[in-house]
Amino acid sequence: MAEREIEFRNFSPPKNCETRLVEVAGICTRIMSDSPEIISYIGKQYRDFRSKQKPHFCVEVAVSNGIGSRENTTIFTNAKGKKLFIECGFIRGMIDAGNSAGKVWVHKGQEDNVDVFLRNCFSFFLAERGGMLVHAAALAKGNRAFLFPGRSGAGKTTISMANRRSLLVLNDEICAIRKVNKTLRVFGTPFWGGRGALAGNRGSNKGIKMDSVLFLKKGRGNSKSELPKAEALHMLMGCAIHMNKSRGKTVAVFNLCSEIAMQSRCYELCLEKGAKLGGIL
Amino acid sequence: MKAAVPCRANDTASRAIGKKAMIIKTGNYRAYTLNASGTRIWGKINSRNSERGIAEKIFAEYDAAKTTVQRDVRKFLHELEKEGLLVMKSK
Repeated sequence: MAEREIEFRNFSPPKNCETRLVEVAGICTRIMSDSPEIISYIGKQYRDFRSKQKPHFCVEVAVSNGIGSRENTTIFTNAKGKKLFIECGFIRGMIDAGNSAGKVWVHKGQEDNVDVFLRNCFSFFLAERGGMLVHAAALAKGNRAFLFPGRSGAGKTTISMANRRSLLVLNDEICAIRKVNKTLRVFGTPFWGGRGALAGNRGSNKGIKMDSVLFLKKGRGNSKSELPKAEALHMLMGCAIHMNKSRGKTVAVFNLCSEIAMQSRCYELCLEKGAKLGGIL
Repeated sequence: MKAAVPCRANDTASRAIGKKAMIIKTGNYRAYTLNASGTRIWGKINSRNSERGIAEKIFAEYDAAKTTVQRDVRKFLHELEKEGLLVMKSK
């Protein structure tokens, strides 16, 4: 997808458009659309992430019939890492860090695909502000947050579902991490995994102090063993959702992962299916 | 002819963690973890030390034959170069 294929306007809001303010990890976006379906979807899906602060970036969402299904995802940034192009599923869009704005076209009837674009937007703009999204479940006990990074199939949703009555589930699939006042904090996001979303979860917009990072491992019996920091860093980097591939932002994500590995206790956690975390944490 | 000096590639960033180090290649977002010996060598790649100079410094730190150290350093630098983590520049 060449840059010229997308007519990238200066984001003058369309007539009759409505706006919604949504924030993740303290980063706020203004979502503008003239589609009632989009506005309704955003209002419902992002209910617990409504914001009142001044937006850091704006996203215009247009509904169109011409956006076909694509099995393959195409995502790339331009040379300076200031623009990101994305084409996947039923969406096609672009993010421009220079204008702090993005525009996405979503196929009519596939309004929920806007999540994919917004996820990429937040990944992109969080990196601009010293944060990142990570493939991880996050559960909190009081004022301590526990991160469970892992790719699909690692057991993030399973562990979240098994412990949702005793612990606060920030998210079962994608969490945000950001340093606030020199403290690493884990934030929930509205981007849930399939089963988590089906269970009616909407995420929690809380930022809770990071306590430990626990990498899930499938096996028999329940055990927890400390991981060497370098190994933890390597594994964490593999779970970071990093869209802005410019050198500066890549190094920023690397440094943030390093800080997490250095400052948090890191473990490999082997759990039987459905096991409760209470005693283990 | 002047000896080439190993330099860290521009698109790399590294962090020492304990006795190990991790290098990230920002160009392709690949991460590499170095063992303790590799970390010692990586720490001596500073655009000033030649391959021979690095081997001398490593030899002073390790209880090993000089030829073995020279061979291992050369092999390791070659591997780094192959992965694009290192470039050889004329001094």
